[in-house]
Amino acid sequence: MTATSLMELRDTIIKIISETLGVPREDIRNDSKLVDIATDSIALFELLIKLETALGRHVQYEEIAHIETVGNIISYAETLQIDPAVLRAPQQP
Amino acid sequence: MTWVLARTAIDDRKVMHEAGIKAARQSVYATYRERGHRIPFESVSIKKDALGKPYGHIHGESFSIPVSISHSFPFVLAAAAASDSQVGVDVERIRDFAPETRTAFLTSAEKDYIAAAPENRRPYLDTLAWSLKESVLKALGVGIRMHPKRVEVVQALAGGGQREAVLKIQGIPYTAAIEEWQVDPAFVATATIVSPLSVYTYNDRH
Repeated sequence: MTATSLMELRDTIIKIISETLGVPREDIRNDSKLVDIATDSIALFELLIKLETALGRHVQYEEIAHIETVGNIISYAETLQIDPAVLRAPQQP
Repeated sequence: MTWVLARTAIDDRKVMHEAGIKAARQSVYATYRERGHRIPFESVSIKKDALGKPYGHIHGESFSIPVSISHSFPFVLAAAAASDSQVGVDVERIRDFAPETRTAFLTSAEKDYIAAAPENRRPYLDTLAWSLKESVLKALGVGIRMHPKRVEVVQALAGGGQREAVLKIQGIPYTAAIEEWQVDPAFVATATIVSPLSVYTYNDRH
């Protein structure tokens, strides 16, 4: 992915986290722990669904078991080689 | 199983975590005393295994006591069980779920059961289904490493209170002891004890 695409990916993920968990974007950092910014397990699951939709990829649970922070999500998403056109497409539930 | 439910006044993760540890210690202490053992409360500690699952430890003893902890402000719930059991607890705020969320975590049988219930009961049943799946996954020690749709709890949705029910985990039936409480008009809590599983594989293709 190009540097621009990586920035788009990061911005998309931050936007989804902010909208799904109700956290202002300026309060979300790479080292923000998901268990700290999510109210409960249901909120984290809804976040996963929204991210799958936005990234156009199904996520295997074993692959995300290590994810604790926002930075972990972004690093994981970078490995998926997401087509930037997918990020720019209107989101469908 | 001995469970402890506490209510906290401060919505802070550290406060909730410490309240959960205290509730877990109290449940371990009560479980041990029920067996006729006199120990000081200070001898009880909560540790974590290699998978991050908590367990109770009594100073000077070699065995561990299965415990589980759950938080949903303002409630903290903890339970301890006999050493040959696996226990999981969960407390959740009752809510309306988005359709895509329901589709993602409910099996077809669970959706059919809930669809047949009165409309005003469905948020409770949706939340109960989630809570039961969470408590089962916590009892197994797998947590988020298994997708909740791999646990089917339709037979456990009926009844209320204390009961035995057949659950399916990755299609395999297990009998579980279940407790369910509506701890507050807005919250439901569940506790599940499943029989020990000697072999478990994570093959999450769904």
